[in-house]
Amino acid sequence: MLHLQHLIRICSARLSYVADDRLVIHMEITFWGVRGSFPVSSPHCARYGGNTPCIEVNAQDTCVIVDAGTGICSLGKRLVEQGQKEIHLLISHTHWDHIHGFPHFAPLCESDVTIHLYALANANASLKDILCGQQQEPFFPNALDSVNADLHFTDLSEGQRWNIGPIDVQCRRLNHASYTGGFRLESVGKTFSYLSDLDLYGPRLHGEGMNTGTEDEIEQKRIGLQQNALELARDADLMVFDSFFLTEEYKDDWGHSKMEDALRLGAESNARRIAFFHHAPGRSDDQLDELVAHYSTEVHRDADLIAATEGDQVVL
Amino acid sequence: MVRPETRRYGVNTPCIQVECPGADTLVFDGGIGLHWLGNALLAESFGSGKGKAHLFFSHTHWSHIQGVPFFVPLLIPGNSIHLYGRAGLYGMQKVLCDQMNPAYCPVPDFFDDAIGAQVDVSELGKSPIRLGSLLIEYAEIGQLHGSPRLGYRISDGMNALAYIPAVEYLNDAVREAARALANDADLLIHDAYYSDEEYPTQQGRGHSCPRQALELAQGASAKRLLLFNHHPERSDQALDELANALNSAELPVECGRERGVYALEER
Repeated sequence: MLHLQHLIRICSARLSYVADDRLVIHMEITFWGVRGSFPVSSPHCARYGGNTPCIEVNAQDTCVIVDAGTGICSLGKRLVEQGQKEIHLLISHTHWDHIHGFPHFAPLCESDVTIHLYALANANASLKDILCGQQQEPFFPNALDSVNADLHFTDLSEGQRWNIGPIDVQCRRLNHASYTGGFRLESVGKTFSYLSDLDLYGPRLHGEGMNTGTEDEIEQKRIGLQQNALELARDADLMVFDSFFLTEEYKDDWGHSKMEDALRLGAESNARRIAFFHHAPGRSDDQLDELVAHYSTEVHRDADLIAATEGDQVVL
Repeated sequence: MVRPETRRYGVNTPCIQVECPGADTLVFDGGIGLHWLGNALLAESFGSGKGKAHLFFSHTHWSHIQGVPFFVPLLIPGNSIHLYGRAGLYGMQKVLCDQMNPAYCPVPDFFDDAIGAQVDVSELGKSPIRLGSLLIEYAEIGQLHGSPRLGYRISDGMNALAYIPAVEYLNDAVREAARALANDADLLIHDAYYSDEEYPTQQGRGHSCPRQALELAQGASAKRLLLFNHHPERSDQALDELANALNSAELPVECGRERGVYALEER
């Protein structure tokens, strides 16, 4: 597995030099965890994978990780082996399944590693306090404030845009409980959009502070949140989308979307490839195969549809 | 991917159910396995809000409580679910409620009286718990950074089960407490997080190895040993080898296996 990853990396680095000597930087997206809610180890998800959300994005030598579900444990070991000293971790929100791999992230033990963490600001607590709360007694034996790595925390403002090496990153709020952001990563004309977790077209607003004000004001917030998703996904080369529910399973108070919502946003935003993501814990491999086959006939013109698979890599 | 090398024994974090005729549902530890147990229980009285369960925690590190928010019977009104453990200065009630903080957890807070099942939380002191014909004894088997860790002994007058999922034998008091729990037990479920070779370099991290589990089983005259709390990266083959190296006719040794059922024969 490790050697294969290195081979892929080396191959793509060679391919990135084109005839006119102009350096073309690809973005490589690797799925380390694709499952929602909690990690699953049962045979029913042996192929698509049971680790909770974690995606690695590589552009040039820059390593950006999106979310710290249990998928980050294996990624962390590889980053230590390859000697990655600078790591950027974007956290969509701090629900357990998006942070519970972080205490087991091997680079935390390395004194010459710097980890930059970013998440949409929560009005009640800083990202640092939330992650320290997870990683201390009586819950965990090795406290986050005593790890060897150098940690830098950034609480992002709504709509914040900044650069990480060659990648332009943007964070916008989505319709999900607490404070949840989606991300858009762009590099040399390629775009990766990450929209997990959200209820995009549902009747309820879920985020903290979203249900205050007049009916008109709440309606404006709803429109704003839908616009946020559209802007994050616009013309994306790969759009990862919360596809937790089947249409008949949908519950409007959970804060998750349906598979058909992924197709609708994909069409509205003109995304080129759509990846179902945040699969429900009970969703079987066979079901996902059938769902991808079924929805592939409904996807908008020219677009591809996949279900995110642990271990798979997509080169943009 | 679910790593094929761990498929047989499984990688869900600790949760065991103890079934005894006529008794309420009895569960020890609330790792991820608790979610799947909860789903199985929904087919019984818990699906219609008539279930009664008692859930005992060995300690409050994530791997032993992380399944609690996903234990669906807690969300169904009418069920009665009693949680027991010891969390020292922190207090069990606060620890379990902190896990439900909305910054971390989107699940409705079933500790609120208006939501879901009737949920009670007890801080275990000194007295054993009696549930019908079952006696549940417990003892503190050391602390890690101020967090207490409990071992349990469940008996019905005929058979006894000892559950010691996380322990390090750093002093005689811990050894004595564990021996009393395991004394003459029909089945001892015991921490074997480290291999015998790994343990010397991992001292002080709060776990033990198969050789120490075997020593306790022999010293306490336990009848059968189940190694437990496997390291996340221990392969099925490595677990087979750990058990085979210790197994004997006098004291059968196996590794705990997800969805494995172990019956205690009447004596």
